Amino acid sequence: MGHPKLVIQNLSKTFDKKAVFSSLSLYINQGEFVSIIGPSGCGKTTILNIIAGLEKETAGTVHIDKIPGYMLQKPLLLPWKTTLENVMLGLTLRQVSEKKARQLAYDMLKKFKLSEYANYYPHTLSGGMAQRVALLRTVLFNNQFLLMDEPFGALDALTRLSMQMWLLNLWQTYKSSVLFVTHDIWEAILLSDRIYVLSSSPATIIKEVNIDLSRPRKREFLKDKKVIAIEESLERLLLSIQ
Amino acid sequence: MNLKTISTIGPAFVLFIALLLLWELFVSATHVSNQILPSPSNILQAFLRNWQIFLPHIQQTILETIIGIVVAIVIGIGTAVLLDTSIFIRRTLYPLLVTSQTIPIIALAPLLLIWLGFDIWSKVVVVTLFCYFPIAIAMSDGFSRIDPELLKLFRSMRASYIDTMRLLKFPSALPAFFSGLKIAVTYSITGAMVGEYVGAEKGLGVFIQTAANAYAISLVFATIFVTTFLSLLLFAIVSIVEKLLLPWHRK
Repeated sequence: MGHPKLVIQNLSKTFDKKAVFSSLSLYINQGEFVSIIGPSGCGKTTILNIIAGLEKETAGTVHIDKIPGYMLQKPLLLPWKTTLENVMLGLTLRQVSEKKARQLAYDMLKKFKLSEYANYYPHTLSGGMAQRVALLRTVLFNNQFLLMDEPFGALDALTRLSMQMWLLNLWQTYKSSVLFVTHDIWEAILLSDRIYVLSSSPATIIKEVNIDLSRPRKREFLKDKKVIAIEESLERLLLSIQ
Repeated sequence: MNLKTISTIGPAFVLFIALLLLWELFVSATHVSNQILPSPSNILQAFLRNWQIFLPHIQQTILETIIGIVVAIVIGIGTAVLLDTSIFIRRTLYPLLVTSQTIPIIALAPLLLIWLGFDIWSKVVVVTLFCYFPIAIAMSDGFSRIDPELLKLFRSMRASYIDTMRLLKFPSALPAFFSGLKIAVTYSITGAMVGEYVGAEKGLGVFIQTAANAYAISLVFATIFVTTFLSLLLFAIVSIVEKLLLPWHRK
């Protein structure tokens, strides 16, 4: 397994003299899928922002080896660029040559069976499709470490389910390490190896749950008695701190 | 031209023709003198009879206008980029920019004539003064209305300043820029004429003055129509360029 992909020690953040979270410690192993769940406003996004280097921590340390790919709730595709050009954005920003970036982006689209959309403009794509394109853009920027901030939160239930399966497929292809923020308990269980539960502000980690389900994950797992038990206990826990 | 465009500009066109007809009828019914209010047909005749005299004046005004707009675009975009560099600069310069716009340009025109002389440049500067402000403000607002999440995405990918400008801010602000430019070009011809009015050898502003002094009222009206037509033409050109450049913005 090697080094952990991410190690956070005693991370604290105060904003306007108010503690958002304090003394958070967590880690992600190489190739591990880890979720963070917690009540809204508990600073989940701030944690991701700090890891991505967009915000400064008040105290504590963050160890990463490379700038992670950061995926947000909205697809944020540039409307004046085609699907292909949007996917290659990360490479363009890294000054990779136009020709090479196009080739790599096209290969990526082809691999995930989206090459027929290569020349489509974003406004012609459905919400789920746009989010797939956004995910490929993130992966092409860094396929080893992904931060995801409720990426499927805006999608309808059916699209969301197919996106979750698609993400797992992608994650297994690249053996990426993922830190996934969600408020959907089922989603966290279906996707993750481990789940951190955060309390409301000032947030701390109140529970860490291992999900020992076999891979590849299947939707039917969610009807498993053991899974339902985990879901219920997490739900009780989240309700009690609300 | 397809049915849809006809249906969008059709009603306005019909109204325009109807107003002209009403005017024509009014003049012939009331027998008002040609020296007071010429009829549209009379104005058209006057224009056609004199169009060769008109032409060099029109060319002069268009030349001044085009140069003035181009300069305004360059300085306007430059200002917007400057305002975008920091909140401090924006807070310092923006009020000054707005205040500067309250200075009556017509009062500046004689000064410009003294400073820059009788030839084309004093008029170019007047056009630029008319056009600069809407372009700078529109572009600047375009920059400040960019989705902060998109800026966050770019920052997370460690985009350089140049790349953020080139790949995100400029394309995002283009629709706003074109709104500003459309307002600017409708002022521009008038701007050039204001400059000419104060002192010039050629141009529609000079021509309309000469016509008025000679009581050639139909030629005065003809000049007004030409001015309006040229302004609309510029507006149409900008609209067409906008549609060609921003195909994604039509959705």
